[in-house]
Amino acid sequence: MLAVVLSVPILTILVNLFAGPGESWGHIVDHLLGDYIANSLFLVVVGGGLALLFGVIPAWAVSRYAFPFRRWLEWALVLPMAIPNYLTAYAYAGVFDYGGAVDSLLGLKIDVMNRWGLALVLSASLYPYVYVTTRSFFITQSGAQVNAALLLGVRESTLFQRIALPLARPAVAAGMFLVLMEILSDYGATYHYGVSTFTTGIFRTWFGLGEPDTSVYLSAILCVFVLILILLERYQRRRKGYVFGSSESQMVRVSPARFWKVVLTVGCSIPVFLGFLMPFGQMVYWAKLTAATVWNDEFISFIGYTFLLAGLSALLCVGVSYGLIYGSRWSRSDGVALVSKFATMGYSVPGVIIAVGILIPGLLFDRWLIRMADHLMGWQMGFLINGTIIGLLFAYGVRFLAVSFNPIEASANKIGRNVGYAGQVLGISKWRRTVEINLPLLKKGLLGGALLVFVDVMKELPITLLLKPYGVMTLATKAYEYASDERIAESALPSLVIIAVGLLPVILINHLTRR
Amino acid sequence: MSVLTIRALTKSYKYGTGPVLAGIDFDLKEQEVCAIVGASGSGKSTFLKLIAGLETPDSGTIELGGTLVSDERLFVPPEKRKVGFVFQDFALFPHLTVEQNVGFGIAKAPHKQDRVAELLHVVGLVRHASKYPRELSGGEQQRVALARTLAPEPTLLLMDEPFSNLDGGIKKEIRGFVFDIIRRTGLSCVFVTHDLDDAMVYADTIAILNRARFEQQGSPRALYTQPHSAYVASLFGDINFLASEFVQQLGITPRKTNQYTVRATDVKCSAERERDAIPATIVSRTFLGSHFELDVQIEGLQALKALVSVESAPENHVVYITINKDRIISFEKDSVS
Repeated sequence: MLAVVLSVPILTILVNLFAGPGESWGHIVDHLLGDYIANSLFLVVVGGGLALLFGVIPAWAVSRYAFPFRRWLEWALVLPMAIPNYLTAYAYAGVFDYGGAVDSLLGLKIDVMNRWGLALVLSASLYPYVYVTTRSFFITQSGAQVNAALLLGVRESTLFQRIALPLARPAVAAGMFLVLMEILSDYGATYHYGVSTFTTGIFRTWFGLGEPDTSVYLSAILCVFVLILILLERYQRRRKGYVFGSSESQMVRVSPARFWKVVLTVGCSIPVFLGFLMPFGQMVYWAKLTAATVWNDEFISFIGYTFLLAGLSALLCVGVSYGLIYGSRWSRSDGVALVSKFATMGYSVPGVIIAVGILIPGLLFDRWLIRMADHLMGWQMGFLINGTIIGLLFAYGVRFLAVSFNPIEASANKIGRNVGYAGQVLGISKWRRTVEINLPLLKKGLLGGALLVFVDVMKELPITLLLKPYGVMTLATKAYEYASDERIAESALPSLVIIAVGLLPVILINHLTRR
Repeated sequence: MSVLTIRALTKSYKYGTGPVLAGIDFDLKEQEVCAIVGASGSGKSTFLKLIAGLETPDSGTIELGGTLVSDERLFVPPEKRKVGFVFQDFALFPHLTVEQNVGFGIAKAPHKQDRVAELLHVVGLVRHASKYPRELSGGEQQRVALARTLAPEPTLLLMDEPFSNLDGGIKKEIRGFVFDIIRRTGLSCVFVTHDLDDAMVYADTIAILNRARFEQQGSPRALYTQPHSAYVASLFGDINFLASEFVQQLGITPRKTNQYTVRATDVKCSAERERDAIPATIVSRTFLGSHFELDVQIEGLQALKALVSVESAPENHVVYITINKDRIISFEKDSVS
């Protein structure tokens, strides 16, 4: 049942494909589809390529070499994760604008509001996914092989290229998968830079042309891209089959010559500057200029709404994750385990698609419910799903369930099944086992999972834009609204609140992956 | 009275190659200690989990103390079976103290504190009562696990490889200690082990699990002296399969349907020619501390493995083999694994 409910968005897209597109489909195929495909591929190749460089090289540098500010840079490199893509994009637009920092300080006029600029923004914002997975691999798993290679006479200058990089391929691929998924599903930054991709196309077709059927067709094509990525990732994961040394054989960190130390410090600072310091600095500057006008009671209510939505979603996702994990253990059936796998696939589906996939059946369901209520009870009721908190929470649940499921499952696996069995054979009720054994032991996983969902919902833009109740504003949609209204400086204050909360899981991730 | 009666118990995992347990029958008497012995993956742990209700059988019946707890229609959940289970990894609750762990299963009992104190005294952990499991050694954790299991006074104690997480010296000490408590409390117990020493020393009966069935059940002595199959015989040390010509030479008329074996310890090698001895040459000699393992070849007949004490090991290249007829073990060929 749960699997069916959670797969509603994807099923909707599939079912509606057979209904045929709307009138504008021909126009889109003739004039726009080529652009959508070309731009999406461009962003994947250029943005993905840059993210690869920004992620892998510093990951190797901080794991292998000792150089000034290394410890500081090691965690600072994760910081861009705290800033959603679209906020980095707004900040870049300001920095490179006429009269912006680059113009006024350096006298340079560089136009970044194009697909090259967007690729840079996305890579600077998303490279930490690659950095985190790769660094974690270098630190925990590559020591034995690197030491063996050195003893076999491999020179330091070729160590990275001959040993470290080929070894790290699975970790790099896992990080790159996330980067590319984010690039394909980005809406806010892409829209602001005026680049036509599938996500912006889906919005425009729905709201500009008023053709939901056609937007479903675009969603389906985007789904194909996503599916290819998922299959590629699975394929390479199956191929890897490496045997790694024990995590106890750590790589020895070496101290290079002074010149190289400077190169490493500067080199590793570049991604931090591009992905965090520059956009954050711009936001702080703008916030100082606009705080007085933006900060008011209404703004506080935006914070309230945002925290409420994020908190409810976190509770929902954590609750469902817990139910799925322990449901499969208690039921002793493979069915629940299968549902869990299925239910957590939503994270691979772009938010725009989930939103479209909920809007269409939501509308049908609401109309049916209103008719039935009127017919059977004589009640006049409003929408239950569309444009309501329920619909919005449902969409967040579909999208972010995996975010809470994975850390909770990892915690549960760490405890092992026997602890639960022990409670059972001692004659303890399910309720007491939950309260007195599972919850205290899973505390870290539950809090971690809740925090990650909380932050993801705070940053989320396309789902919120499409499904939020009328009149409700979150910090993300407010920042988007300011940026769309050419009042970009005013987006800084809501952005800074999002960034501040977003820093919490960054600190957490950093703490967990540290040596 | 039978504490545990199992009939035609079958269990298979969906993605496995065949049943893990196929039509198992098993009985355990009151105060009996039975060891289940078998290779890794032979289904030993699954057998215990089925008794405890931690796994569901495909078919068959399980009765505990004369009460049916599992058949095709009925399944009594583990929390209602009153069975104690000691896990291989002890499965202590890491967030609870020793005292809280021991008292966990008897939260509502009227004399909970007294019972916990009594058990801590029995397992010798009174001064560790307020410590957490991570602050204890492996042996101490094992004792907490035992005390926690005994607290609700189970009718049957199940132990899954209870000593495999402990090292050499401490293992022997704890093993003796645990079985001493089991004997004193008069509990019936089924324990799983891959270490035949555990089974030989502490079990009243041993059940050998092989190819999804109990290949043989009986006292340790019966299993050693009258094994029903080569597999069971080989658990107690190296055995030699004998060619029928050789069996004939030993004065036995071999049956075509039977296979004949002899233990390496029952092959006598001597430098002196005795009556009825068969000449052989030593091919290799391996020093094992108190014994030599000799590979000998009987010209034109067969090779044999012999285990002889260091003192009696012949130094010559040519030796004379004698095998006592009574030590020949024969099985039907079908039972040879």
